[in-house]
Amino acid sequence: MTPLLIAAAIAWQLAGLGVDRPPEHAARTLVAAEGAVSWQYETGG
Amino acid sequence: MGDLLFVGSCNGMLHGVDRRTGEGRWTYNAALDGGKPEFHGRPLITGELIVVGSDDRRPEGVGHVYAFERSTLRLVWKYRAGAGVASDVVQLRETAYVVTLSDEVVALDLRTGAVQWKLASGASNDRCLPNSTPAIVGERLIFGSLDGTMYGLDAKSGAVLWRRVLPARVSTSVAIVGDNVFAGDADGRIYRLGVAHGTIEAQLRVNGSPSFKLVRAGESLLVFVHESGVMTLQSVPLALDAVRWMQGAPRPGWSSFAWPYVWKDWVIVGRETGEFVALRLADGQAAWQGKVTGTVSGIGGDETSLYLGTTRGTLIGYALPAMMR
Repeated sequence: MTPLLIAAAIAWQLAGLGVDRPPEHAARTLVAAEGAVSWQYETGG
Repeated sequence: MGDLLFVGSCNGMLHGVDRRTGEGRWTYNAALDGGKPEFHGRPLITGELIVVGSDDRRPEGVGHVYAFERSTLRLVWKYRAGAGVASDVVQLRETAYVVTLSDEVVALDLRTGAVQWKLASGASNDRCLPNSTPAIVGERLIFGSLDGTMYGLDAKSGAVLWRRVLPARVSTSVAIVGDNVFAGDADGRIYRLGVAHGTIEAQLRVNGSPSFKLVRAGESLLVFVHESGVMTLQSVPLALDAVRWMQGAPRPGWSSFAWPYVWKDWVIVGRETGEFVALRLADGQAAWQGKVTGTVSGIGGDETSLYLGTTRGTLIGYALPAMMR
């Protein structure tokens, strides 16, 4: 995972603990991993 | 389907894409058949055919059911289905079953596209609500209507074997496990009915309105539940004795465009902000996440990759991390 994605993951975690959802509903155990985009195909719509 | 991904997009195009390279191999432009078609339902893939419905959610909409030969991708037949079909296509032997946006079940001969029988629920659908995808069990087709009636139908003739009226619109697909029929209604309950007579055997109130797919995952069902503008994912056991777990995400929650995708010990769900998250089936805890650009609107996969569609119209091949393989 790139630093940018790690930052995004952390931000997401923090947001998950915010006021919109009770803490017990928030995803809390994210693990950084090393998936990657292999290709993209544009369908046009 | 082999090395080809079969993908429908919101501009009325069907695409065949090489799953290894992302190279486009084939397209079909349903817009040339009229209207402003989109594709939302899961196609039926048989040994010979790919059958998929298009929908055009306007009063004057034009939608079809299409059957393509699997080996050549040649159009074999098409059936004009009013404003179309936004739910999945199901099969029993040589018959395909669809539910149109006007809440009519249509049985189509897979070889020719000829109508074998129809059954209209009589419900109006001015808001173009999503129809419940029916399910086959034995020789029966189980259908849940927009007016809240569950039907047990003879799949061959369309004869009504039983009806069961639920308090509200059937708001999920029908799921079958053994001799049990499962469906959710917009009043906030998941029901288990006996397949023989449609008798309600158990029910469970969930925290909100169950929506779209009921997805089997071992001894549980997964379902999106909409409550106060937030979409959570909830896991309920087949016994329907309690919600096993629920998992949310920051408002507005999970993207209901993409059905929960069960992959090994995880279920993968997406967000409007492009994140997609693998939740453990056992307890709903997030184990891993990735991110793409745009709202995740479709999730599929194979042993090594996920295939993610976005509302921007991009299809993405995403190599899974080693821990997920």
